[in-house]
Amino acid sequence: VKAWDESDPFVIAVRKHQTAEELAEIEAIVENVTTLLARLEESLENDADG
Amino acid sequence: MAEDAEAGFWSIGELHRQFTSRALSPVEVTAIYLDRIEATHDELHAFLLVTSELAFRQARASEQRYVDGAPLGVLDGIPLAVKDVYDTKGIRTTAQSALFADRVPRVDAAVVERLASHGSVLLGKLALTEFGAGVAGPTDVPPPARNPWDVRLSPGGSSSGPAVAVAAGLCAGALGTDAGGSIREPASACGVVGLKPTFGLVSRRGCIQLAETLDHCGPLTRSVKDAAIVLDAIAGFDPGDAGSAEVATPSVVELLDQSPLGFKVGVPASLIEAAGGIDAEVRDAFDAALNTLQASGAHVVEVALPDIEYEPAVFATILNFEAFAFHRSDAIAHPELYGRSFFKRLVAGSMFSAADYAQALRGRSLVRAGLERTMQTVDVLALPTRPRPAQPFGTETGGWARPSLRHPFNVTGQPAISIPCGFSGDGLPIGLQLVGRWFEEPQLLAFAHAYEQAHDWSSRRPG
Repeated sequence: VKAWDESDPFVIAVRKHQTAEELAEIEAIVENVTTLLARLEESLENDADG
Repeated sequence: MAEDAEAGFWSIGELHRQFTSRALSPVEVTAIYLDRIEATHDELHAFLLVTSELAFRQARASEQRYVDGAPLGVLDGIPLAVKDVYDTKGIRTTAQSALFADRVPRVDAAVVERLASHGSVLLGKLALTEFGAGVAGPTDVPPPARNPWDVRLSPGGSSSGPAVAVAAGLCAGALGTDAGGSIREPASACGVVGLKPTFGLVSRRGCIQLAETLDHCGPLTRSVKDAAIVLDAIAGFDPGDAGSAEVATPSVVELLDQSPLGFKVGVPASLIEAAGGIDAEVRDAFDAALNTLQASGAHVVEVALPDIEYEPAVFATILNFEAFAFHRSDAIAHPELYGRSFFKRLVAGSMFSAADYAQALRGRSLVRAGLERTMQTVDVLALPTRPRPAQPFGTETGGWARPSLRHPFNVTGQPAISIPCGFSGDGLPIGLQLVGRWFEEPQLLAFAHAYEQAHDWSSRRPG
């Protein structure tokens, strides 16, 4: 998951309008997705290596 | 009133015949629909805005063309409605969002223009879930559209209003949008036909976007033939939509009566299994539909979808990343104007990096290549549209990062249609999803039409 820049105006808006619990829930889903993307990348690299 | 109720459910072809024979006029039918919309509004909330004045103006002009013996075609005088993401000149277009509560476009969306050029009548703007991706709750403001088969239940989404309006006989047909099943899913829950055409076949210009490379525009109707009539009117290249394809668009209606004899139907059993939780009644209705297809001369075989396991990550990354890109500046300026469910998607989108997005695009190519190989071996895929019939509000969470029966065909851009294929023991509709090859709508709809002719599922009405 991409590291957040706390000075980013969107991150500031999120901190104001999203609870920590909601953020943790979203982060968990995104982490699952990026894990699968990493597996995809690995598979593509393996294919490229023949 | 009994006759009015009957007229509310007439097919587009039947209405055109009535207009041509002068048995009924577009103005009379428009009045019937507007009365029905008013009578059901407090219960169904299908419409966000009713455009009575415009509708009567268009209906009177249409009536004159029939009097002059010069109607513009089968859609002339036909009362339709559109999901409230289609821009309408001088008429509020909100995406059911507080952010756009006062947004009034200066020009019509491309497909609204096209429908008007065929003489159709615009009854109004239909409900949806916020920006086509939020989750509806029973206490939302404005109230969510409700399922006409059981108003305690959700009609599905995000094209909830179009599905409800068509199912309840409040318009002759409607336009929805579909970035991840938003036409097919409510069509299935409400017992109507919902078509997501091939990506690029129908222009999205002037349509409030959810995800630039996943959004599709298409019709919801009470029959496959009506869907074909609307598709014929709205399909075609548009340089104003970067995703629009310059391809031939043969009349789907004219090719609708092709025989399905010898069609090869692929059942992606592993995808159905991965989606999980298929209700026993849905499974039974799906198996019965496959038997019908076989009895009509189709060959049914099980097929694999190579690399489909990557699709949930590909879909979730692309959809949320693209939605965030579209909304970032508004979300910074007015976060309080977004619903919590939709805002969560934007937050998720902000968590993906550009490299994640690029990786997802590589994955999309991989998934599409796999589907291309599969589609060389079969003419259509068949699978349930949704795992369960309509559910109570709040129990449908969207599941945007899980295996889905519908998302893969937004990722690949293939045409997919949901048609009624049975009812649960509680009398709730069940949908069959058929998926075709890219730009082969004539074959897909002919096949769906043949199935539809074998049953009376599409002729049943709520209430």
